[in-house]
Amino acid sequence: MSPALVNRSPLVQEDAGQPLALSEVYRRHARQVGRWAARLGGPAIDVEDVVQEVFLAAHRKLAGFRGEASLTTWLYRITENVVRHRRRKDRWRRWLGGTADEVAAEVPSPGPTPIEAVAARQANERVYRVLDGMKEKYRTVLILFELEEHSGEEVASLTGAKIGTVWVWLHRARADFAKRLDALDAKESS
Amino acid sequence: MSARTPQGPVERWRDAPDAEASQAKAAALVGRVPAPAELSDEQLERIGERLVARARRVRAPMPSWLKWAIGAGAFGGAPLAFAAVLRLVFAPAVQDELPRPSGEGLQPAAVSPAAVPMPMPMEIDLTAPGGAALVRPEDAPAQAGGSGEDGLAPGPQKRAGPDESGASAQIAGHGGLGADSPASPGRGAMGAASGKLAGPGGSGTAKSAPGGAATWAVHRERGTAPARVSGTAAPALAAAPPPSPAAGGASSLEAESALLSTALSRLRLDKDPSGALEALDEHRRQFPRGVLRDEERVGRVDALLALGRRPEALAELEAIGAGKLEQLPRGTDLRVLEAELLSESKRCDRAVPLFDALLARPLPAAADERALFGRASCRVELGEPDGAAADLRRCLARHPSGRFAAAARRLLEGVADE
Repeated sequence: MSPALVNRSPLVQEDAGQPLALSEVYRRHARQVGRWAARLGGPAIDVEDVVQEVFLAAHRKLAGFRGEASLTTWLYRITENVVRHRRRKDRWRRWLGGTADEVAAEVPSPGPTPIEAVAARQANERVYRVLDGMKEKYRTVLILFELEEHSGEEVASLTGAKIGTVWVWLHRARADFAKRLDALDAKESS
Repeated sequence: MSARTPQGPVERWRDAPDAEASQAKAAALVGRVPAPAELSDEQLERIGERLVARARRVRAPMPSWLKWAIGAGAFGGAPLAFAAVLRLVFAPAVQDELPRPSGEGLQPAAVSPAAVPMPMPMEIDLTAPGGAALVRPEDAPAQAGGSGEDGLAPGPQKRAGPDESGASAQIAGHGGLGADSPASPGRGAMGAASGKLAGPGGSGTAKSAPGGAATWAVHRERGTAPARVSGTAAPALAAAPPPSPAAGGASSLEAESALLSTALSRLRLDKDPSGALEALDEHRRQFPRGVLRDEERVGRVDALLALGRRPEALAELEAIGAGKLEQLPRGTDLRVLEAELLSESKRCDRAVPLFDALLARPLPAAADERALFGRASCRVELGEPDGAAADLRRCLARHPSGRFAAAARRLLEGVADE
């Protein structure tokens, strides 16, 4: 690999010119990747598997990465991609094996918990039930802004969208979410 | 764009002062979502070990010059080949000047889910098709709908709609939901890992390079070390984001999804297994190595069973292979089905070890009953009445009112008479 290429590598950039290997990237960013995976994937995702897959992908793609974006952004996009594929695949597997409602009922319970924790878990499952019906971009923006509490600029950086686009998506995502939640409530009450 | 669409920074939803009622309700719900639990040090170390083990099997990417050379050779163009050689010779000088191929960042194919141990959210109680191999039609207990005309003994129709009956309900029966048995198949494969990655918090297991930067052991062993260079000041980040990681294979995945959707809709909604097979054939033709090829196979097994083409269903299951079969939805039930179909085709020498393996671990009730009854039937076939009787007694003890109870009692009487 040419020195010029290496110099642009995010693995170099992040550490003030010192080369960073993937194990170091893993050490520094695995928790963040795990958090993204949990947020983007929801309660049904296997976070450990996703983290493993993200860093495997990073391992594969390292040589081809040219550092146009920050390391964080690069890892986020890999995570988003892995989660999206995992969700899509899981959707198929659910359909092949059972309905989404049945699968939702199979989400493992963490055992006896205080009422607050149960309520939080139920809210979590409900939110992801609504989110999972939304368009991917709206879902992502809503998660990053409302749940992860990133700033609009951070969301724009992570997703590669313009800041104005982020606000538009967020606006539409909120409206869509509220509409879907109303529909879910109506369905359940009937 | 709506006039109310925000053009600038907006507040968090929960802080929005004048949200409409439905938005306020949604915001309140979102506000109750807890923060996800952080990965623990132990989890991170475990993932690191798995990474090392998995990374050993990752094929090194083909060098770009080799791709050029192959491309040149394929077109038979000497000038292109010459250019490829030139490129090889002068690669360090020109590599940076070439634009990055679109979507190279991370294409779906690079993260082939088929190669990934998938978490199994559930197992399905597939009670419809398999037992037919072992039960005479008149022995099959009465089920909701299903005439059994196609050779299938229809199972309990857990998700069959109210309007489903006969053969159509049999199709729906393939997907019945049963006991849950979560598994993460990939985790057991980490024991052989010799190298380790340090988890955050520094467990001291990372291998360190002389320069102080930890290196990934696999890179060193494979001679594919990642970017390493004497430290120089890093240039500022480019403003332009890299190509979307999803850009490359998204369209093919969409096309795959569309075809599979068509197939399964025909199978499950239209009750048209022949039509489903056509769509599955098309999927196979277009995406012989597609991301969803295993799902296509499972759908094909269902369609073939619905058409009574059981030897072909068996061939399909055998083609998937035991290792992958276990990772698929309904993996356990598909294994039971494979064993039953083997038994049906008089290949009990292969069926019995399969039943043995299945029965050596906890099974959902329906699968357990099928496996016990199936092995008993095979043992009768193989001339092992004692073993068959033992299986039948176990079957009846565990599932006294199960689907095969009546047949098991009759078979047990027959075995005892012998």
